[in-house]
Amino acid sequence: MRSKKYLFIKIGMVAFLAIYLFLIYTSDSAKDIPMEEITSSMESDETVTSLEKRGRTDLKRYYQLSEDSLEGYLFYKAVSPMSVEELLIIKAPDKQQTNIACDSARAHLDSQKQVFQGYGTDQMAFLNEAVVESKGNYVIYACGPNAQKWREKFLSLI
Amino acid sequence: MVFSNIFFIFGFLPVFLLLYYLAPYKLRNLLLVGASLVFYAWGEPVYVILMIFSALFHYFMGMEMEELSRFPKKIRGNLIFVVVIDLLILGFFKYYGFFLDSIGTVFGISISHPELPLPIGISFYTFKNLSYIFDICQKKIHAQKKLLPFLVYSTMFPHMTAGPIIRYADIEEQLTRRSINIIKLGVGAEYFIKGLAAKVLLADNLAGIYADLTASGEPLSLLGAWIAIFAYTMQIYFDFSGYSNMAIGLGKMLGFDFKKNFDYPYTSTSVSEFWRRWHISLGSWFRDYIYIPLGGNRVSTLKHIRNIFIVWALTGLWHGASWNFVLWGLYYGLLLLLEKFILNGFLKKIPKPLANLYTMLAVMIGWVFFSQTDFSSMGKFLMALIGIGVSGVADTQALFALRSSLILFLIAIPASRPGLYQHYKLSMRRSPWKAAAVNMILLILSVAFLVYNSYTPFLYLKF
Amino acid sequence: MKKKTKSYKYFFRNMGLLFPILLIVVFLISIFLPERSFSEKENRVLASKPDLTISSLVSGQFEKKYETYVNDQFPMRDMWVELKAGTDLLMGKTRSNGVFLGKDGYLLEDFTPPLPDHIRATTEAMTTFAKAHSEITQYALIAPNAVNILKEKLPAAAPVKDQNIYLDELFSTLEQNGISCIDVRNTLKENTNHQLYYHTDHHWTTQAAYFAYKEAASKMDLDTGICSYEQFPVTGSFQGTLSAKSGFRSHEKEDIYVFLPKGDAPSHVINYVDEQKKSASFYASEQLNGRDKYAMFFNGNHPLVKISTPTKEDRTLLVLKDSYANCMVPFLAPHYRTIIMVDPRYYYDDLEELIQVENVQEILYLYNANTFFSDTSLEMTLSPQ
Repeated sequence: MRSKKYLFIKIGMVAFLAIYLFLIYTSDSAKDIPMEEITSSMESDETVTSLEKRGRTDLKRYYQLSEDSLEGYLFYKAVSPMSVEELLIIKAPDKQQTNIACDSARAHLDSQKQVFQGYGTDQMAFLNEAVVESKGNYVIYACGPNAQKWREKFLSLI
Repeated sequence: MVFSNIFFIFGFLPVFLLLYYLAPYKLRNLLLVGASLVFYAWGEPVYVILMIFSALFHYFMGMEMEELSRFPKKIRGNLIFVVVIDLLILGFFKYYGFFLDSIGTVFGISISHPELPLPIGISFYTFKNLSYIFDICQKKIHAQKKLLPFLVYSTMFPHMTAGPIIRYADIEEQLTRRSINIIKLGVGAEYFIKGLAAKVLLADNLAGIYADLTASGEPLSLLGAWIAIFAYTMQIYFDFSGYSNMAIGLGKMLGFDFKKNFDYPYTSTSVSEFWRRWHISLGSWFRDYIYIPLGGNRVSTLKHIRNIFIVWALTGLWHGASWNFVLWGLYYGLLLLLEKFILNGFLKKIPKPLANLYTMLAVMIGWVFFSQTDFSSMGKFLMALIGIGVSGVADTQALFALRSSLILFLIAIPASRPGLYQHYKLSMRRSPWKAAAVNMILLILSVAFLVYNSYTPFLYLKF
Repeated sequence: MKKKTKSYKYFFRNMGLLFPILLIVVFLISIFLPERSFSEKENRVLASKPDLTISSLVSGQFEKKYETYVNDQFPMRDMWVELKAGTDLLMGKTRSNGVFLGKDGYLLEDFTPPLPDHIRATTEAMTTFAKAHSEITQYALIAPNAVNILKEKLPAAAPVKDQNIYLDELFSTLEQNGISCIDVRNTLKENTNHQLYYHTDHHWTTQAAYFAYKEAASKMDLDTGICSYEQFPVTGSFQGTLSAKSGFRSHEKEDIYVFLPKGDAPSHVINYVDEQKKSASFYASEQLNGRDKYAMFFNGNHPLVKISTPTKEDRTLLVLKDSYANCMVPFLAPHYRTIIMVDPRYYYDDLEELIQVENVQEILYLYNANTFFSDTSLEMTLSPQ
């Protein structure tokens, strides 16, 4: 009887461990949500649409990313170049492209910091709080007073 | 959370100490376990589940093995089960990427895998929990039947994240019976400040010197290479021993006595002595649970040599999932064999300072293996130390580094040896207020550096 | 023996008192201390209390931010920072965050050599652009930094890379491709008896800019006789970015001078295009109340600034520049009917179109070497993909 008790405990623990490790292993993956859905749901937020919607040339200019290598993206940036407020969400076709996109988002953040270092203290504060993250095949860059809110909203979508 | 952090020192610690000292005796264990979970979960909320799992798993396995003590065969099966599960967890988080990359290199392919962050202290708590199970099997201890005292052993925050790897037998009684008072609090504070100052004032600044010299990736000068590796040698000692001293100090404040983990390793007169003084709890773990079960030195010479290399390759691998750590371990295996069979008599004959110098050279070269994760930079560094491929005997970079670090070195060297501290201990007795003031000044300076730096993460936590 | 242990006890009792008292007192102060949003001393916005959400807590983001917050809002933060900086000095530290503590109170920013690919891309963009616009006369004034001109002020054995190697190579490449270079190194070196760089800031002084202007005038065919200048101090409490960056000499305050024309000066209209603001002065004195007093020149950095001056001759100059230009362009203004200042770091519109519309006849690249060699935005503006 006694050994039965421990057998159950062992089976339970191994099962728990297996589920836990599986969840951790897959925690990086994301649901496959079409970019249109993410776009429409992010655009319901006025703090996003108050910025200017940008297209392929700006994607190339700021992130050195070509539209063709991505499955889709959403790019909003403040009109004034002196503002660092910006939201970019990218859906890449595979992990490799995701990593490239994430790297260029990081590079963009670094160059923004270099530009405003010592000049724009408000901008620096936003840049220091900026979000660069990838989950599954998605990448998000968010900067500005609403960066956290955008991030949460985006993560809740995928 | 780490100890050398403003939030820990002036947020977590005062609140916890206040509650702990005011709480009734019976509630202290509960409070300690609760605080330890908060401490661990802070910044790693997902992995605290793993830590709790590991504690519960070993708790139950310990009880079962205690009950099975008359059936050696069943014990054996259970022991293998525990080891497999522990290695699975450790392998999953720590060695999985390393393993895939190594296979990939052998077959010339690249295998992509998600990069999981390493749970803090996983190597420490896994080893600690394993030692508990091993000791039950070897009938050195009896399993703890009550959950709470076991959780105190397994999860308590002072040695949770970066050791020392406490043995159950050493603190068994203290788990249920320990006293706290103002003297012990003071002893703990002294340890804690000593460790904090070593980490923040010495290790972090020494790290800066090493980084300044090596960051550019340009060839070093002969002098520059030696300054860099000397700074690294000192840094890693103050980093590791500093953390251990903070852990010991926090333990004392809570009424625990942990064993010494570093005993002035840089005064050693041989490499084998060095390893008896460096990270003592880790060395004895490998000795007790791997080396001796393999037969130790009571087997044929060939098997003995095999045992030494197995133990040292594993010791290296424990420090990080990368081949350079394996090489670092094997290097020590080789040195120890060399000392055992050839150099032993010679080292005893030569003057002590000379033997110490030999040990330090061996150790410093060891840190080259340790610090350079890729083999080509490791090779370049080793060559630079003997003057091959250097920019010259000395360049402005090296002279500037020497100039900026001289005072730091002049403090670090005596601080790594017993003399300075002996002197300080004398002043504790002669003028207790003055000595206390010196200690508080060290604390205040450390805080200033922490506030300025916003804290640099511990080297130690990677393991 | 008994006496010995007894006296150890005294020491540990003292520690057992002092340590918890310090911890608890600081903890209580930090709870009741009001939040500070900006640090004048460090010239940055301090972290504020992060919002607690489940996802930020689980990801560890909240904890990380909370620790930064506690650090930034630590009681008497400035005092601690100063204590650390003072200790560093005692330890013989003369470099911090890429800034050297030099002689005579000078802080000198280290020079980081350009990455070969970077500098090649930039010079190629410039030379391609020069060939495509051979009708436009093009000049480059890449000002040396303090670390170059005031080498002898560096602390002993300071390991700095020689900026001149890179400048020489740059100038020769540019000259070969029809961009005439205004090398101000000699004239600055000859005048080191004047204050050419701020002690605590990475910028050159108006005085240095004036010497550079004289040198430029001879190359650019400008008649320096049309205007003579007098200098006036506008503030005595300038604390530059280098002291904030390094923590050295954080109490040092210094003067900013401006050069104003003697007698009748031509009137200018300065149009900050993106901001849709106009001004009649190069100087924004309201900036002197803030921390970044150098921003009094042209009110700081802007993507696009247009300066109109009623001159006889109709010359239009495009200046592609960084902040070193801000104190020098006023000297150029009387010579051109229109000067267009573009800061490529912030300018993202079509440069070609701008040149067409404004009928630009001359282009001046006006940078300091440190920025020029680390910059990537100039290349992007000259040759957008």
